[in-house]
Amino acid sequence: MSGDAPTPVDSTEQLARFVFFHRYVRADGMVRADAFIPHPYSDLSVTRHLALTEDEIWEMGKSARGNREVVLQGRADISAQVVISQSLVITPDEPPRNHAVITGWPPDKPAQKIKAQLLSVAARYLPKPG
Amino acid sequence: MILEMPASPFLSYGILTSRGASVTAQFVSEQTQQSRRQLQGSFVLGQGGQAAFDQLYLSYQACKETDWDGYGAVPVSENTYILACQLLEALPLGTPLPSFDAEPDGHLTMEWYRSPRYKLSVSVNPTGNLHYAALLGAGTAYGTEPFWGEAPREIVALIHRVMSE
Repeated sequence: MSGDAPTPVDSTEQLARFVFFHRYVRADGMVRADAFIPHPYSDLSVTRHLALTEDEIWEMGKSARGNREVVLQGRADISAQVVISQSLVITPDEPPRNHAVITGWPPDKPAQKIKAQLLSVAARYLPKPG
Repeated sequence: MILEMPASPFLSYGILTSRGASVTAQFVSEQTQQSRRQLQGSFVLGQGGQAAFDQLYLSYQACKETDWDGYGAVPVSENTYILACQLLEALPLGTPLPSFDAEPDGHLTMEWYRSPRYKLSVSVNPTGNLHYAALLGAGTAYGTEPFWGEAPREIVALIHRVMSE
């Protein structure tokens, strides 16, 4: 498979948004909308679950940290269907493996915020094991 | 009776803004703010208002370095923090208190949260614009209001709608 173009994202797929900032998670376990605001880029970085085991997904999260002084807190899983229903576009963006970006965000902040709110409502937060 | 409370070290954030340009308008504005502070000191702060200012300060502290979110976030500026303090102080007495956070573009956020489908997020940016977005059950509301030292009516109305509907 190495070297092949990544497959387009299907609406039935699950996506993970890794969370490195502990304040993005409420006491009730819901992830805050702030975790889905696309900045400093015009797109939002996610990892496709596609063909990855749970352990591999977490490994992707750890490697997404790179050399930065941050600690992986957990991940917010969200259905691709929810993203698409917000008129956003999910585009494969490898490497790294299974990396994708959510594009098509409106340019104005309030419209971005409402989409981020709706994504956060549908997301399921999973703290990092261990 | 007005009870005096010790000032929090987190509250020293500068001069409040005023719409008025004249000396008289400035005086009235300062007197109003002073009265408001006394009232907050005696009533709201005793019910958690002081803790809200402290939480806001802690949010600012947690997000004032570059890349605080691990994805390259912009640091929250001191000016943004000052504006957020002013907005918090400008909320009408009796307003439910928000929680605080920051967004990757360096805006501080105030959130009124009742449930996943009833919540309001207000972003304070460094130029004094307030970007808000609310989930109201099946409905939504969002937009931008300028902040001139008084809490915008639209946002105050949304706070009450989210928290008590």
